[in-house]
Amino acid sequence: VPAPVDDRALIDKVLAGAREAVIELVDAHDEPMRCVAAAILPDRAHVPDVVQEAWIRVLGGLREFEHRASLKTWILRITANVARTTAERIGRAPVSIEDLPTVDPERFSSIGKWRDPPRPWHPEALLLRKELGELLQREIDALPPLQRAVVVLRDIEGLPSEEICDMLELSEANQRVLLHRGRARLRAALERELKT
Amino acid sequence: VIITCRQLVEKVTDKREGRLSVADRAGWAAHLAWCGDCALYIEQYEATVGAVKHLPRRASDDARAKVLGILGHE
Repeated sequence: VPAPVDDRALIDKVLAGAREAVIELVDAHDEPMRCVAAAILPDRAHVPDVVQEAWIRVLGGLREFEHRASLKTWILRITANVARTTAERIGRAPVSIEDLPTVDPERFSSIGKWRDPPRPWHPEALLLRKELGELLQREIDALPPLQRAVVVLRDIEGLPSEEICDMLELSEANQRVLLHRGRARLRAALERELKT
Repeated sequence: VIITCRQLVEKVTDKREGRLSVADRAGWAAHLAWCGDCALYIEQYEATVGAVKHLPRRASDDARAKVLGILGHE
């Protein structure tokens, strides 16, 4: 979670009309905004309009922002509200929480012991390979929208789970299932790539 | 309480979130006392979470242009 003092400095620069500051603001928040919108809306087609509307409200309200929450939380709540208003009109994304195995059951014996256990990954491959970052990003983008939102908000943005539950109207238990499924899928993608 | 490998891999997030039941906490520790395969699974799960945390953050040129447009920047 970024320190509020950084938020203040950035906001001041944006309000003063600094182009670079606007780009910094967009780089920091546009992706998670898209994830939040996609998790609430029934299809991706409406995401750009909702995010655009959210940005208009964010920029319009920036002068009055009171720092009671982090800038990120404030921006994402605005986005969630715009998405929900739109969803009231066109229908909300169905909340489907599957609780299926995240590791192929074929990899375990009948007594639940590893038959095909994980193998070590190439040492330091995670640090060394830029393509791996690209692979992870692609896998995140391909997650079902709710899983994607929870993984991005928790693991990239570092938001606490209560805030995410609140924003996406999820129970803590459902949020945990989504996080679990998302992370397991990303681990499996790395495994396919890095198996020694 | 005995936890199998197949069960343990589905509890890694509960464990990390501090949501394991008392029985599962004992089963978890007992299992990892002998199972290197599950220890490796957990290590890779953690490595994945760590790798995601360090992904670069950048918006698309299109997203940047749209917001700059709202503010009347070129």
